Amino acid sequence: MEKITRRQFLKYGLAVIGGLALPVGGILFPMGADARSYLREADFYEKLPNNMVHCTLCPCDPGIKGYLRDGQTCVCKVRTNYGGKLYINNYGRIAAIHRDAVEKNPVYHLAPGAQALAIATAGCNLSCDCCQNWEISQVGPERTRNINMSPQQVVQKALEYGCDAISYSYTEPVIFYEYMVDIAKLARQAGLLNCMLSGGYINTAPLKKLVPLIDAFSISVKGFSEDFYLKHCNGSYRTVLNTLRTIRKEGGWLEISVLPVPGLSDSLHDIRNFCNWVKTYLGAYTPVHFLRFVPKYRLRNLPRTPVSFLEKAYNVAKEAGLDFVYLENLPGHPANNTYCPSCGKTLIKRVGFEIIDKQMKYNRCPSCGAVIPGRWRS
Amino acid sequence: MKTIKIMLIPALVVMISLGIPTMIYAKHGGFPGAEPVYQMVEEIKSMNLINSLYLTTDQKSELISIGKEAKHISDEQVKNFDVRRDKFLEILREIKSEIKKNGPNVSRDLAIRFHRLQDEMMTITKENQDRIKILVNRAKNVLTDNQKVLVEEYHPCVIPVKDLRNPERVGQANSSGFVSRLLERARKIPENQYPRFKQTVLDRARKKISIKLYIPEEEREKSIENLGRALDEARRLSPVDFELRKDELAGSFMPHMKKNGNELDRKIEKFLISPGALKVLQGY
Repeated sequence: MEKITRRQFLKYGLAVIGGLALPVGGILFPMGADARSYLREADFYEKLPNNMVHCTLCPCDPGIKGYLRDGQTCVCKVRTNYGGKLYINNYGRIAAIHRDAVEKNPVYHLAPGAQALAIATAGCNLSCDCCQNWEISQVGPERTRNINMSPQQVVQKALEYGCDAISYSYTEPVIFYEYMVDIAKLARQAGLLNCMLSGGYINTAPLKKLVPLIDAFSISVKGFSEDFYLKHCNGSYRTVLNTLRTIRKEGGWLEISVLPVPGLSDSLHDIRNFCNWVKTYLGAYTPVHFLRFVPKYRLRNLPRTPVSFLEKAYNVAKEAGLDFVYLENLPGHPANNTYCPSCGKTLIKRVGFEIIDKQMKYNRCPSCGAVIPGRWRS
Repeated sequence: MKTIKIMLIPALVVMISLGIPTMIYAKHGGFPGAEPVYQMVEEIKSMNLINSLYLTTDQKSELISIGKEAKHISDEQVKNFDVRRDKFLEILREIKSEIKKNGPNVSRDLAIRFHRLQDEMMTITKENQDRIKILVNRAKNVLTDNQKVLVEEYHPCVIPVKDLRNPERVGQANSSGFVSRLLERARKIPENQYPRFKQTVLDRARKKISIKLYIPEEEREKSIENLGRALDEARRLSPVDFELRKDELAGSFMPHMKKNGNELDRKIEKFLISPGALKVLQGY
């Protein structure tokens, strides 16, 4: 029998001990004490045999579809199966917090000029190539610098700074659903508005529970086909369209933002079809915002959306019969303003997110008296 | 080495955030032959403003037409002055010679000739200013209310900012500006190193702001004091309050410039109907 050297003995010995320690460590210390304090059991999931779980919050990654084995974290980076239960690890861990105009969502038909406390945790259930906040959306909370705040503290801070609303924004509020719902309930009691900026990638059941709590939804439509969503967002276009219809059916206030990306989703034909769909299924009064694409994340090689294209998109949307069409990320452009669809009067003048003039009489045009759809608050 | 890095980086950040022009741009300190440089700088400043206004074709045509008239007035003024220049120089030479010979006793006749010619030139200038004012009002009527707000709040720059208003885009978490990052850095500096860090930042800022001659002295000092207070305040705030207030703190030390008269009119004249602006508009 060949003798082993002392070095070999130590090397193999340590490897064996290390290998044994992992499962033992996992049993004795299933999660770090630090991580445990952030964990909360998720609201939407099913328990399955063999310690599997099925997350039912969103359709999830087309490959995983929400089925997680023990110890597996979902693509959203915040939901993990621990011992056959689904936990979220981002509850109360805020990765971004700012004061923004409500218009920044963009939500134009809610409370013009109001300030919102905008918050987000790390993570996202999509993986969009054009993400503006990828530094915090494409990682989990263990990789971001977080501020811990309970729902009560969030509401308190909003009131302290004189905010009129809380915006669930920046990353994807669907993945901090439980936190958002708890905050939204308290915010409502305190007289604050709730706005949600989302990619709309959520299942119907959780969405229906959410609609009564949210005063305005701003849903971002990234492209106009299943293929686009699969290739550039790792998601599903059908789900987003379903979200839009559900919000409308449940009586929520909805505004849509569209991001035409040069070379990828800048077909006027597709935009026309989408606008026709919006008019048919959501109503001509649904505000649609066309955002100017700015190169970010995986699409830094592409140019900005030309202003002339956005103006064409604006015209296409108006020709399709939509009443309220806006162009974003073009501060000072006349398409920042709100115009009466009946008489054409300029109701609200904006430069970027700032209101410079407001002529409306509560929810009516001061000139012809037409009711202007929205959830107007003074 | 670490100390040097600590000193250099925030100082550099303050320099850039104050938008320090080089000496050759400073109107008050220009050297001979700087005119072409100055003209190009003004042209770029006009271009940055014009790019952000999303002018329609009709608006551009109108502004070009007004710009041409303004140029005509300006060329006329130069011609009028040229015609009188030699006469003026001759009178000034005579005055100089008399003062040399007789001390402060300039003849009445010479004084009258001097004042008459001076009044003539001032009258021409005043008339041209009035004509320009009319053109400025015409240009104002070409702009929408939204565009007027952008023009009024425009901070002339050579290196363009992303957007004139609300540089943050729809849906984007606020990205810290230079000064915000400086404040973040101030929060992280250990207690025993902070006084030195603060002093270095303030010294560098004082040095850089001193060449901005268009900022009054008292405003410069106030600005430096405000920067010091902002650094202290940044350290004192809780993490949440710092995130919510850092942009406000970052802006708090910027000098408050006394506005000379109507900002909108002044900027229309300087950046929308000037010869530089005309070149830019005609180039589009």
